[in-house]
Amino acid sequence: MRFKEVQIRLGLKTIIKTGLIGSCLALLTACPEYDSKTSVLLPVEGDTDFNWNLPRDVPLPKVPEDNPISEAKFQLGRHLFYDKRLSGNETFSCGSCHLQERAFADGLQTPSGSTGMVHPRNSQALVNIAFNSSTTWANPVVVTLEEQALVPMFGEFPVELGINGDNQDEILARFIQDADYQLRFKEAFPNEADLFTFNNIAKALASFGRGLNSLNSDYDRYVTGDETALSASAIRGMNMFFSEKQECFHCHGGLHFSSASTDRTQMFTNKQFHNNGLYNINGKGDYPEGGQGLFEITGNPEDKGAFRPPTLRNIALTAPYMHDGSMQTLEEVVRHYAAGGRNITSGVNVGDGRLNPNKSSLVPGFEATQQDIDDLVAFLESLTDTEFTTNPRFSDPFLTK
Amino acid sequence: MKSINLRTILAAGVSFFSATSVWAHGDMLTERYQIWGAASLTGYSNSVVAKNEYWRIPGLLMGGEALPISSGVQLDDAYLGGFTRLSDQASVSAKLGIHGGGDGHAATPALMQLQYAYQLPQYDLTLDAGLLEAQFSPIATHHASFALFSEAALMADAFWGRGYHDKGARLKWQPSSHWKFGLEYWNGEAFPATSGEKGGARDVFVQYQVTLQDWWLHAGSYVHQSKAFQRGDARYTTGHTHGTVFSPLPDDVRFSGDSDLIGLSLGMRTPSFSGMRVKVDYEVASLKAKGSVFDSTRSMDYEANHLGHYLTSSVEYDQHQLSYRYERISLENTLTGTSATILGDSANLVSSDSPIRQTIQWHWQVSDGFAWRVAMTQDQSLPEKSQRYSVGLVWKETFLSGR
Repeated sequence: MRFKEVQIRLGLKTIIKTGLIGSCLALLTACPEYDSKTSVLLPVEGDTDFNWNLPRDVPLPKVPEDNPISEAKFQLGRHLFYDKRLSGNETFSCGSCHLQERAFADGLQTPSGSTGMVHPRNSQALVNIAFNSSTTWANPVVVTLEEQALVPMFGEFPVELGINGDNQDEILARFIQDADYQLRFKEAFPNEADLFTFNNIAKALASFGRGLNSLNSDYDRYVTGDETALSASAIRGMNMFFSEKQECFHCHGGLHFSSASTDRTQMFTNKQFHNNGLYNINGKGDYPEGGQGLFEITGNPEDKGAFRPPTLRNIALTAPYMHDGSMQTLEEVVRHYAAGGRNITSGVNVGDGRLNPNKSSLVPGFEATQQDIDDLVAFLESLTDTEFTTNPRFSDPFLTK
Repeated sequence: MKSINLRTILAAGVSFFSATSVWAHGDMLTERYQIWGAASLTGYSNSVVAKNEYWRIPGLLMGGEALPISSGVQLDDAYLGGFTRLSDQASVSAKLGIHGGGDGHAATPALMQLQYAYQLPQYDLTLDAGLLEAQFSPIATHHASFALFSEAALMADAFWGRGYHDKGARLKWQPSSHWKFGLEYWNGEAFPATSGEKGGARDVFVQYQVTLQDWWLHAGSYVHQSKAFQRGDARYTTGHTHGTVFSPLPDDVRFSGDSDLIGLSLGMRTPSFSGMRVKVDYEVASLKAKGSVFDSTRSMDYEANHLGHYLTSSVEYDQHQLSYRYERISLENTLTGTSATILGDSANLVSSDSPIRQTIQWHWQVSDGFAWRVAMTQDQSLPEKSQRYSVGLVWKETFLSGR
């Protein structure tokens, strides 16, 4: 009996030893080593052939279902954008306030419309506007470029292009009588019987706006691998821009340098409006009349002074700055944020914007040396895309004819 | 593609062997009560990531307690623990601990374990409940004070966020000294799960160990299932304050879905040959995750099929252990949807690199309560390969015990 047990133990020992050695050999020679990989499966888009002036890997903008993009529509919109016949008195076009060489801003503090009425807001640059989650300075309701295009056409306070009930038929007739436009409207809206409508004009203008995309700056070249594209100063500025100390990127982050951006990969639209401490009239958080921002739409006192953060792409070309063009240079803007707001000590707008009760927590201020300010400005200047501002595709077609 | 692992063959050739845990505290079978302490302090020559940067292995959704080591002297962990038997069947144990928090993240004391155990010897059953440390894998929890290496296994960092402890209950059936069957049910607060109605986790494991003529053999297998709802990477959340110089936080990208983990562990230790023992531990685990990854505005479908393993081999002589650990993770991700490119980028999921790490270590158990370890680690967990050296000491002490 005892002998048998020993035999069994020896047998077990042999089995275990053999098993162990075999297992180890199997493990050592066949450790599972699969190559890592990531597969990205994208749905096929219908309008990827359109010339978006965007790198291939950039998500495309949202396009309304009732206004699919086409080259014909883009070109029609381009012609209408620069055509003064689209104003009541034929003295003004969209291009009057949106100059390509200034990234489609105009260099004025606040522009005047076709009738001379002064606009209370600074002309916005038209850069990557297809990605704006809302289109104007401080109106969350106007979200598509089609809706926005109607504002300068029919707006009364202020009058911009000056189209109204009295002259709208006459204005449409100007285009109906033009053989070139006859062709362009047919190409742009091939299945429509009633071609010459302001609705179609708005669609064409929106399509032109959707094509105004700029992602070819020195900064873009730097982040895609060209380490020589940015100066040392700009790189220092970039690091500050994207740091938690300066906070800039929270409102001006992302591909389009605006947190109020969206694209077709997004399920939800992120509308953002911030008070950056520009004014604090009488210490009550007020902004000058006519420039109260989001409050003018919502009526909520906490929305006083809240404006959409605009893109910073081509910002060096779009002075003066802020919604009312009240800052002349980028250095002034950077100093404003470093101070955490603007303290106005005299005049009708007297008040310390740094203490504005509605000021965003993302504008806390930060210490900055002259070198820091120069570096941040150098970085902002690196966002200039000269290919965009000289691209014939976006230029005034009437100048080349 | 499957390939022969030459490094592991070479490793075995030089026979560096190890133990997963070099010291276990408290014998609840024989002691009536005990209070103990332990700590691990290590100086590292290099950090895993640059100062104020975040450790994010490309291709992985990380989380839990998987913080990187940083250069300089670091308290890996420190514990104060104890247990007391309430009766022949019941006992209570607790562990208060500090885990090294990585660069810029202060270590804060936390209750790691508060466990009530009740034994039913007639059925060979034990029921544990409370704040438990998981037992499904030999590396389910990492305590540098008790582990052979100061750094946690890469696979544990990647698949369950290093240390798995959570509120829950465990039923163990040990019909003999060889077999252990366990069922663990978790509240879901430990990565990769989330708690709440749409979260939770559970696992089942079986372990076998036998000692025959001084040959020790261990084998174990486990299946762990977890559900997550809007799980983010909370590792660095506490380090984020506006107005600091810390780098911007990674995008807040979250995961909702299921994660299934299947693993196999094997271990053996030879008898003593001329005072020398050889030990090998091996574990392989497969992680399959399926669900959606999203941020505040985008969403995509996500499938992961990862495979991780490590092999630790040691040679033990007297109070010395010379060990080599080889670790590798294969990462396979499938991202689907219009947002796949941009979300894949912000979630850091696009990668064709397989994280690899190799460590050689000398461990000297100077006395029962004190040990030194000197290690060299070659780290390819990130695309940039790095090498670091470390010198550490491990201390443990039983302050009070009684039978």
